[in-house]
Amino acid sequence: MHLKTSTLSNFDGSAELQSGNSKVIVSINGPIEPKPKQELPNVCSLEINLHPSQGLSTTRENLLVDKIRSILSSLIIKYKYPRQLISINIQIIRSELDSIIINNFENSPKDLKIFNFELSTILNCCYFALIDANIALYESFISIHSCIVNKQIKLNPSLEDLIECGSNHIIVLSIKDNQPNKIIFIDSKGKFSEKELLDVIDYNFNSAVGIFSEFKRLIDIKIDNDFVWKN
Amino acid sequence: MDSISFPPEVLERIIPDLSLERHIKSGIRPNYRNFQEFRNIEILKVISNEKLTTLYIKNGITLIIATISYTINEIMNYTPNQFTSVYPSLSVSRGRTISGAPTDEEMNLCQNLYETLLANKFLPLDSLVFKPKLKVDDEFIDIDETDFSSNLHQFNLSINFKVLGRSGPLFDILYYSLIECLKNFKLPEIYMEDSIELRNQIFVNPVLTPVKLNIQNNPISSNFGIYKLNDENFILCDLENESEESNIITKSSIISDGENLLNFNFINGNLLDITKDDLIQMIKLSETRSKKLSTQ
Repeated sequence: MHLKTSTLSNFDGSAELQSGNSKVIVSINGPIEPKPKQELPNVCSLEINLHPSQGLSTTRENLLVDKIRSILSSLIIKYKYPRQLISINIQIIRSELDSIIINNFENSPKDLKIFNFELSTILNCCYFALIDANIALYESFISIHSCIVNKQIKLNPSLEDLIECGSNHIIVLSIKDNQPNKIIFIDSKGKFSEKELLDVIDYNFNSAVGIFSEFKRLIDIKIDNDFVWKN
Repeated sequence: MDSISFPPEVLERIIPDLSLERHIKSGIRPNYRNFQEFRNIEILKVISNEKLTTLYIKNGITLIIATISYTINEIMNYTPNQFTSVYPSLSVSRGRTISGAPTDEEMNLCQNLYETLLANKFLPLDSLVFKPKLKVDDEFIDIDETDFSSNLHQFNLSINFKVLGRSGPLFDILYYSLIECLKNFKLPEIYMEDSIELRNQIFVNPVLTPVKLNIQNNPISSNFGIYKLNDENFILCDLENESEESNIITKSSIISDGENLLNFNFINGNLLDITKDDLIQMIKLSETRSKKLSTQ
């Protein structure tokens, strides 16, 4: 996992995250003055734009934005910024599926897009960008992508795993005092039993501590770089 | 100064959150259903011919008119054992006379239906790919492999939904309509005439065969909302009306075929403490409903 923050100087906050073969840039402007139709009297409004790595955004990106909006609007303290706007721009630089379009894989790329490869990276990148933009959050959060291959739970699955897998799960957990606290979002597709789903949630809760310590390390580096004058 | 009192339905429009809280406190929902009661689903009418199949489905006060149809295109090659989906389009009537561009809700529902059906692997590509037969003296024969016109063709299915009287989240009933439409839909036989002039045209023979689906049990989608009142989580099945839809933002949508789960969506909108028991209870409720609707 490679992180760069404050990469775009004209925004209030930005982050560039590379995880596996996916690379995403998120930039945030806010709180800023909204257009009159976006203004809400007691909370801030969110504007999210998602640009895919190839081509224009379609209904698929619209559905992804809908999911991202529902997650972020529950985690951002919206009452802190009444009558204001937080504008989030997401640009996917590189996606796991890009190489397939070139290599003409057996499955058509259209079918593989349903695994929502980028969603987990986008959400994690949004977390760092929100921190960089100093937007208040109720709790920290991490997103984990996992799948069940041959009855084994696998984190950060590769494309081959996903093609073979029985079910694939994207889970967002909130973090409080370095420990996973609440389930924020679950998106599971495939064929799975109740036990398998609960096992995946348990497994993700256990691995969240390790993943978040990596996040903390990245944030520590960011703070060290930001406050160069502190010594 | 006199106090003003409002009847429940007016209060629901003015202060939906207070209306919901008062109803839940007294143990009933604003729509007078029990917490774990679903709206009734009824198939009113099925109209079918060689071109399309239309279903009229009633869910509470909502009426869905679903029309499934096909187009044919020629393909160069295809990979067997793959799955495909149906292309949906949707319009929700809200009493406006001018129908503009699709709303976000319509777009997201269509995309979600498309992705869900593809992930479910219900529609094998093999059942939609065919080679047209050749009509020789009123008999249909298979075209010779070496024949130049023995190209592969494929049916592309598309479904159009018209929703009247929307009163709650639509995904579940649209998914139900989609599956029922696919079960009822029959495809015709496609042939070519054995004459030089008509060689590149295809014709429809109204001998209908049902689409081969990869469905074992009846998959049913159910939605749930979780409402917190006095540190207790209440699970409400099948959200309806504005007061429930806009105030309950912790919700889930589960597709179950009675044995396995096929899709599990959950969003914790107001950061509630969700326990495993809550998740298990929702899964159990959806399984029970799926079994109940399958036996009807």
